[in-house]
Amino acid sequence: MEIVVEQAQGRVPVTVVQLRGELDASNYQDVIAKTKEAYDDGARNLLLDLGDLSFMASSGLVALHSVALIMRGDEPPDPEHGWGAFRTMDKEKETGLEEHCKILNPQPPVDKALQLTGFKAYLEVYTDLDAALASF
Amino acid sequence: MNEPRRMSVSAELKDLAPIRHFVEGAAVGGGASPEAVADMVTALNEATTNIVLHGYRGRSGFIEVEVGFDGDALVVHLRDQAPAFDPFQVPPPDTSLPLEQRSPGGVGILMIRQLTDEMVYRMREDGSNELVLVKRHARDPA
Repeated sequence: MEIVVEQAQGRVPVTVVQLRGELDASNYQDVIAKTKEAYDDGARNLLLDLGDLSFMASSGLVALHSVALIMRGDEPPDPEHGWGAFRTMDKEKETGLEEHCKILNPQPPVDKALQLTGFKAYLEVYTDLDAALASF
Repeated sequence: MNEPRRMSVSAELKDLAPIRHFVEGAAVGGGASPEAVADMVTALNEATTNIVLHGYRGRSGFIEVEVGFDGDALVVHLRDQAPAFDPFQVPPPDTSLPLEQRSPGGVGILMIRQLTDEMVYRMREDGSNELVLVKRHARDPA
């Protein structure tokens, strides 16, 4: 899987992270590492472009969760804990759509995984780049 | 019924993609619909990931994959020599809970259950595990 990071401008600067290929247990930690790197470089709004992501496993959902936490400014849980990482989410925060991390153009199988696992309650999905950039 | 196709690969994370591609090719070749193929590939990937991470737990081993059809049903058999792991012992996640409160590992099994019509686990006579995943109406009836 290839990870491409680009800068875009909506009302505010947005870092677009494009995932190309297939995301599974063998490479999901790369997404987390790349996001940490972008955040350390000053990224504060992140759009995950999944238009060229042809496959995403549940490990990818762990990555998305960690990415969302990173963009909140929170420390993501140890990815080795997999889904146990979800329990460390700050329960005082209201669940709802993440403001600083959104998704663009998931392919149908990926969109289905997001839907089945309830991730659409947390990560807003866009099908138009301009609308996604303007939403931050 | 199409002749089933088989492959055997080492149980390593790097082999998850080749397994997916093998099953996809066999399923498409047998006439399965794109949606049925996508669902089965996602489901079996969760199962094979569990075999690697929770079955063998980093030890060396093999996963045998068999893909075939039973009428219009797409059927995938996964066999491994890891210590017995019965996915039915993993409780289904409580879908009323917020996502962050769900049990570890439950989501993979949830996806398998939602994306396939049947999941059967059995321990074979030689002590190996066999998981059978079935996706009905995967292709037009002959």
